[in-house]
Amino acid sequence: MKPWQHKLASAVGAGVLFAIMAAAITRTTPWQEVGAGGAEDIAALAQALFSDYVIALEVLGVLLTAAMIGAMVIARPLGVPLDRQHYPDVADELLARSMDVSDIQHPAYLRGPVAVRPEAPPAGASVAVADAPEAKQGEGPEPEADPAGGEEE
Amino acid sequence: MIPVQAYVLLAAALFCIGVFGLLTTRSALRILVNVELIANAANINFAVFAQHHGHADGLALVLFVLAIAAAEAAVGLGIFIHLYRHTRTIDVDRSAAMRW
Repeated sequence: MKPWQHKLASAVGAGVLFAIMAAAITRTTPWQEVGAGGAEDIAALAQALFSDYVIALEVLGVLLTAAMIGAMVIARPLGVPLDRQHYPDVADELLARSMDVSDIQHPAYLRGPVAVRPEAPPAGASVAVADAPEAKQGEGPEPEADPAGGEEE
Repeated sequence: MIPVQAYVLLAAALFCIGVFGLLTTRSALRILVNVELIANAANINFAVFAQHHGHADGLALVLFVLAIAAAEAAVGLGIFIHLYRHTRTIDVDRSAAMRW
């Protein structure tokens, strides 16, 4: 399916959806909007939030904390073990190694003037296929078998 | 004053714009932006009906929806960072390994 066909079908679908919703909305009798209360609205919101919905508020705080921690665990660099206590040398070295961003190929409009452009890495090194991260993560559990041994090079 | 239907029509229009943008993009970040737009269209509805009925329950729900959308955006961004590290692209059409 060509891109313009895809866009046209999506536009038609969204337009049909809007037509159905607009027909349902405008068939009802028009209500009159009450004017905004300003400070009384905020006082009423605080009253409702801390008396009726206080449990939901606390659970929301826990949810936000859990989401942030989860996002940090999901987005951690590849191959770094989760605890530094048991793998202190491996963790720090892999963390330092994974922070290396010199192989990122920026788009042309972000590369800067020609005189300071960094050398492009070979094409085979930066394209990460599915087996490359698996090979890197396979190095993570390796220190388990050899805790007193040196780090892999 | 402005009738309630104008606000609800605005929310419906924003929802449809968000759905259109969500379906016609390949970038993962744009998908997140459109999901936020759809959630905010629903927020407009909550706020309008809270104002119309005089309760503050809708306003509390607006705050909850906003916080949950923020948490979802954080986790979604974490997933996209991990996806980029594996596939070196944020094109979601290229990351269709679980589709036929």
